[in-house]
Amino acid sequence: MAKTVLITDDTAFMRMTLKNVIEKNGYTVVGEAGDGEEAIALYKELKPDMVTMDITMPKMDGITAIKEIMKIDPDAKIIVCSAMGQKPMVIEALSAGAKDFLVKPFDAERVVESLRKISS
Amino acid sequence: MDINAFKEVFAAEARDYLQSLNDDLLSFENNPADKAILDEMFRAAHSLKGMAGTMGFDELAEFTHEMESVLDLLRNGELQPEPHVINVLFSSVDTLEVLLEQTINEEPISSFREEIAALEALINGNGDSAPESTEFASNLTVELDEFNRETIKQGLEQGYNSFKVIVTLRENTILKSVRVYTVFQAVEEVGTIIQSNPSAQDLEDEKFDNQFGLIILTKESAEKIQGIIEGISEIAKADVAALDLDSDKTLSIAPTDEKAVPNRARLETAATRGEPRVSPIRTQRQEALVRVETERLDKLINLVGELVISRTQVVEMTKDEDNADQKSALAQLDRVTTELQYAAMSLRMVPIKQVFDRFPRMVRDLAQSSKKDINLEIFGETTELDRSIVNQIGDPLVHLIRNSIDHGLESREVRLANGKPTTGTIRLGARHEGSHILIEISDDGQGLDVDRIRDKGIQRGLLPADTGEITVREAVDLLFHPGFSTAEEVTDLSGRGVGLDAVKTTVESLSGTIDMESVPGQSLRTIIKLPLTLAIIKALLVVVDGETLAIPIQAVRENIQIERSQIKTVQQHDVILLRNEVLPLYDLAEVLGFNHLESEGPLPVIIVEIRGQKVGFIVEDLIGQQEIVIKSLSGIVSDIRGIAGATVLGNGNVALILDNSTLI
Repeated sequence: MAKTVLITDDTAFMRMTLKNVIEKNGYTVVGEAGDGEEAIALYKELKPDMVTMDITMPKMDGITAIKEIMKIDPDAKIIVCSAMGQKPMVIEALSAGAKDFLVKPFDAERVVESLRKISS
Repeated sequence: MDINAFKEVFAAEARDYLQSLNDDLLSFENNPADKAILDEMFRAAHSLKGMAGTMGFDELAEFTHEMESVLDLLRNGELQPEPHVINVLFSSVDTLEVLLEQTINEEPISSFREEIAALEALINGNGDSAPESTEFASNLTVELDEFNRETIKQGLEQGYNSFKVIVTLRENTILKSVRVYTVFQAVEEVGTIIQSNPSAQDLEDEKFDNQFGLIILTKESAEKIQGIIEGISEIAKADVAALDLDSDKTLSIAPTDEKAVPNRARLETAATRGEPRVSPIRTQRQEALVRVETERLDKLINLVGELVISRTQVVEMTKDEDNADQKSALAQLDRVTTELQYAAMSLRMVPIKQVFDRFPRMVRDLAQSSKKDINLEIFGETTELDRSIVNQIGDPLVHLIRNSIDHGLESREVRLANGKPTTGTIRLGARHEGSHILIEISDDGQGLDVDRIRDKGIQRGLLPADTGEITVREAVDLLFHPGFSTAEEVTDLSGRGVGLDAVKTTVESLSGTIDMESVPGQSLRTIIKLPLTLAIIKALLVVVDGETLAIPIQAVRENIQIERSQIKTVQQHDVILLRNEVLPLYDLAEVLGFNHLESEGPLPVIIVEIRGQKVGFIVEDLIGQQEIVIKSLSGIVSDIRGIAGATVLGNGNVALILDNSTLI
């Protein structure tokens, strides 16, 4: 069965582009969250195999969300997504338990590599 | 990926971001101390940059990046929100708007060198130096110092393996230092890093090419270590070899110089001292809304209305047939159309906030000019009602609130003398009740001055000169009487000769009712009851001169049958006596100019309330009560006295809808 992914990003555009790449490569996007709180709720509900997590979001940022999800599921496989210039935050996200990171603008190959590597 | 497919979504969302940047800048200009607005602007610029980058719109991404940098300096307090800074930001948003449209429409991109220079001047003027040189020393070897050699020796004695690992990153790896961090993280889960080449600091500063070296102690095998590292994204390869302390005195990769004990803590410190995190913003951006011309909306609602009528026709035509399948299909059609009707109706609904929003400012201004302290409380502003009602209810509310301020609330001195708080309170609220909306305006002022209203009533000839005490109820009825106004002097606020009867007329033309309650000396409360929608009403269908007419049901009090002999004449006017009440009686055919009906039998009479007065109308026949869809009349027939509109009946005939407020 195809691995499932939960996409978290506050911009619909980013969710759409990511979803496009992810689904073209044989994964199933089971949910899309627009902020950290939503991501946590959807994680509990959908139990996705992987999560992509934007950092800068309203209501609850990605790093807080990663910490919360890791509490719920220490084996959660989260890929943190950042823009250039967010290095300290990416490191914080990684030390909070994110398994990999992606830098915007997304390169389709990198996205797929990341999904493949953290799911194996 | 085929990026063009996303262009429209990108454009729409980007425009939203620019709009919110613009709005936020406006509020930031007024509240430069509000960090939350800055954070929100930063986030908007940041998101925009990411989106533009993804679309490959480099000019847009670069410009937004510059703007983001300036916003970041403002957030850090490294740049002060001085007027010229804000001006540059404003013009940057303008530039971005132009840039966005040019990009989306694939027009040639203008040069925005000056605009970029203005942003860069802010960034550099701040002492922020140009990006650091990323050049680094190369082709150097790091020596294993005595301390590390000793550590490795001890590790080997305890059964650990010691490996020399050369990690090669893929070309074009982004955020190399963070990638190195993930390698460190992964390795330290299964072992200890004794030394790195280049040093942790240089790795962090990305002063290396594509390769770096590690000496590690681990209980795992070389293959396992290689597998772990190569399982990380963007790692081209990892060469893992056993370390021979005797021959390997150095850790060589292609470049390098310094030696240092790698220290992950250092990278982590960087995480906390670096760029601050964007804190969650105050408000979430609004859900995307679709703007639709009201005309199109009305057309849809109109068509749904037609559909409802057709449905009624079909149901009518087939109601005598005994076909179970047909019946169930029709029942389904009935359900769906009803739901569609409600869905369409909901499109007409808007929150009453649109009207209420103007009052805080108005009350503030009036409080100042009347030198009263007034606190306006608003509740239920999200209550929804028909758009056309919202458009018309504003003026009556203005009138009532002005009345409260002018006549209701006392001056500070009087309030103090009466033991009331000096600040008067006006409460304005709305709520749903069944298929109606109630709007309430109340104040804690002096209430109705019943005696003065009575005197005025006598003076106006509305009451007999010898009238004694009147009740509050009677006083209220007088207030709504045409032309009644108690204002002793015409002030700026009210008493322009437009009395409360005008308010009442407006409310009634919206098929609503208005009432007042007052505790003299303490309070006044006005309650306006309006239907949720004007598009569909319940009506009583009657026949006059062969024509079907619809009378809005909320105006109808009762229907009775009378004999001709019961009609009396008072002052040359027909009246009937109903439960000891004398009611004027009209023949609806005569009022409307239809042919007069001559019949011998009993006459059906509809008792209708018009401006608080019960009136009887003789009709030819009664059909019954029915929901009708109002269609307004237009053009030359749009403004006929007594006619509010028309509706199409189930049998396809047109029925005029009577407007009871202007009928006589």
